[in-house]
Amino acid sequence: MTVKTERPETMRKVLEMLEKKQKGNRVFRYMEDSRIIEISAEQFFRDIRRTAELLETYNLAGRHIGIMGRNSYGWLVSLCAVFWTESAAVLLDREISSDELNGRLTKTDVSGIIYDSEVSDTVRKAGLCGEISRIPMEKQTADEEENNDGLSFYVSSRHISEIQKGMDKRKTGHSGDSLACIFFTSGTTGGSKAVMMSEQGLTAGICHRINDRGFHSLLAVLPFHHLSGFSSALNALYLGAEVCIASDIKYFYRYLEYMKPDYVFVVPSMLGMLARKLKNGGPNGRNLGWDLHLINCGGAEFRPEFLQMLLDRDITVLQGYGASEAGAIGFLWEMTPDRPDTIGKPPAEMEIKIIDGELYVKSDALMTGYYGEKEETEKVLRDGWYATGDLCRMDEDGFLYITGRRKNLIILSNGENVSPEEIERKLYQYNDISEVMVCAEGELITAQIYPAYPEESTPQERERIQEKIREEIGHYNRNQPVYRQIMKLRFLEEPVGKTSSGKILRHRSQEEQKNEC
Amino acid sequence: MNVKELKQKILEVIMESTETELKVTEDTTLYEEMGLASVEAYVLLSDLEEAFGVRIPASALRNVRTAGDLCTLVIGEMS
Repeated sequence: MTVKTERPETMRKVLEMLEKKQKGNRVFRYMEDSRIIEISAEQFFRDIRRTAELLETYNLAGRHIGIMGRNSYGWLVSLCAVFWTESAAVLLDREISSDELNGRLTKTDVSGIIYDSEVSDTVRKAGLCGEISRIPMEKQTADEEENNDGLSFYVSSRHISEIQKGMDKRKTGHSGDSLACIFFTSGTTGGSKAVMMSEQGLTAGICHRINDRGFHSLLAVLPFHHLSGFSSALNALYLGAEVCIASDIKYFYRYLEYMKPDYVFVVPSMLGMLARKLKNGGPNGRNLGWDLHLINCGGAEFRPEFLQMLLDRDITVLQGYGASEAGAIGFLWEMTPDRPDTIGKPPAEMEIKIIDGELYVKSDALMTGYYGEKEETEKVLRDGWYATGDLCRMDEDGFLYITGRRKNLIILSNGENVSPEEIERKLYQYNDISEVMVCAEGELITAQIYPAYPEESTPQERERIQEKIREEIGHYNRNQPVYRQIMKLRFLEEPVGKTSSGKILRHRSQEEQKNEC
Repeated sequence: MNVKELKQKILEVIMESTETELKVTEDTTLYEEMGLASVEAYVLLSDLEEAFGVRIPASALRNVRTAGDLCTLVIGEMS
């Protein structure tokens, strides 16, 4: 029997549908130390409405509202409240610096920001303090105790004065084309790009059954500020399941043992540690107290060496392939040992074509473009098709295989994309660096540096400059999350190879370096 | 337990948690020699928390490269 897919036009209507669908159910669990907190659908929607009323009171409804913090119940309430008020959610990585935060908020015309206590320093140092008011939001748990989410608002003083004048600029009646969400993805040049998702793009990416495997409980590990993070959680609710929130990846094993989710989204870098734990873990990790039946692994290239071990423990493995710009409808394929390196076949909701070896995709979930970057948008969105930048081939049975990347992007096994140009641009602030090329050696981000040696410098002078560069790289690293830090440094004897137009010859330079080693 | 014994105990927890075959010393690098992914380093923190009764914020990993750095971190939290 085919289950009908109900797909409302806007996220507000999706939430109204979910409220009816999940009535009487438990929808979330999360942990505080060893205590499991349970959230009913009734409480969830009560909290959404309360937060939505707060947004209305401060005249933020209908505007662009930033959300920044760790994965938490409060984060999801905030997101849904933004949708409820037909505003646009601007999702911010909690690990960015204050300067980056300031840049992103300015770039996307944000009027207010909801943030948790862990990033309060970052928000305070972002240079917003002079113009904004901080309004703490009280959250109630089921026991009527204040929880530790510590969500707060920064609202620009301009809007406070508008409230005082009694002005109401709230837009009403979002349609499918209205902007619902902005999130950031690494561009191939310059800084991050702000991806725009319309209401219908989001609803298409959440209200589908591609993921329908009869699971009961999803452990939400992926960061919520990524499209796949929050959309997989909302899709789980759409499918009638509950969501266990992994607030701190440190306690990943604890969540598996205490909350016993049967489904978890992971990235390839987690497969190795899962494999180690499950070695003597028994079927579904039973010996460890787990009840794991299904793993979805995506964000980077799958590691097939772990597949058989997982299958031997009665764990089904799905591989997810997609791109943020393509939206939350992507490939989802059950891995089998006979084809461990395929991304599978596209779902029915997606069309594909391959042009000059590059994969193009089309679905209702595609982005509408990059915010404020028409030219960059036109490079990748053409006639409703998104150019993924991934090179692929199809076998005679219709299975697809990724064979390379057209874009110059480092894709780490933790699912994060790192733009080498973006890091190079930051390193050029150090005057001792004449030229730099960033690449990855395995999982380690590596900087190949040609120092700014003075003419006829002595070996001692060169060593001193190299030591100074090491300190400067250390300084850069201290302001970066671990996955974006430069782990290896190579000093070049000659400048980096370039084309006649001055572009770095990345592949040739890496090959030359390998030969030198 | 003196500092030397404490460090040895920390190194033992690191080896047990990561199930590495390396003989880990204070100079052993987590990401290069041990080949840990960043997520594995985060999960390692929780084993250290449990073993030594401390709380280590994930942000502390930004300054950690070696097993010795982790020893310094744990001992710092204990005192």
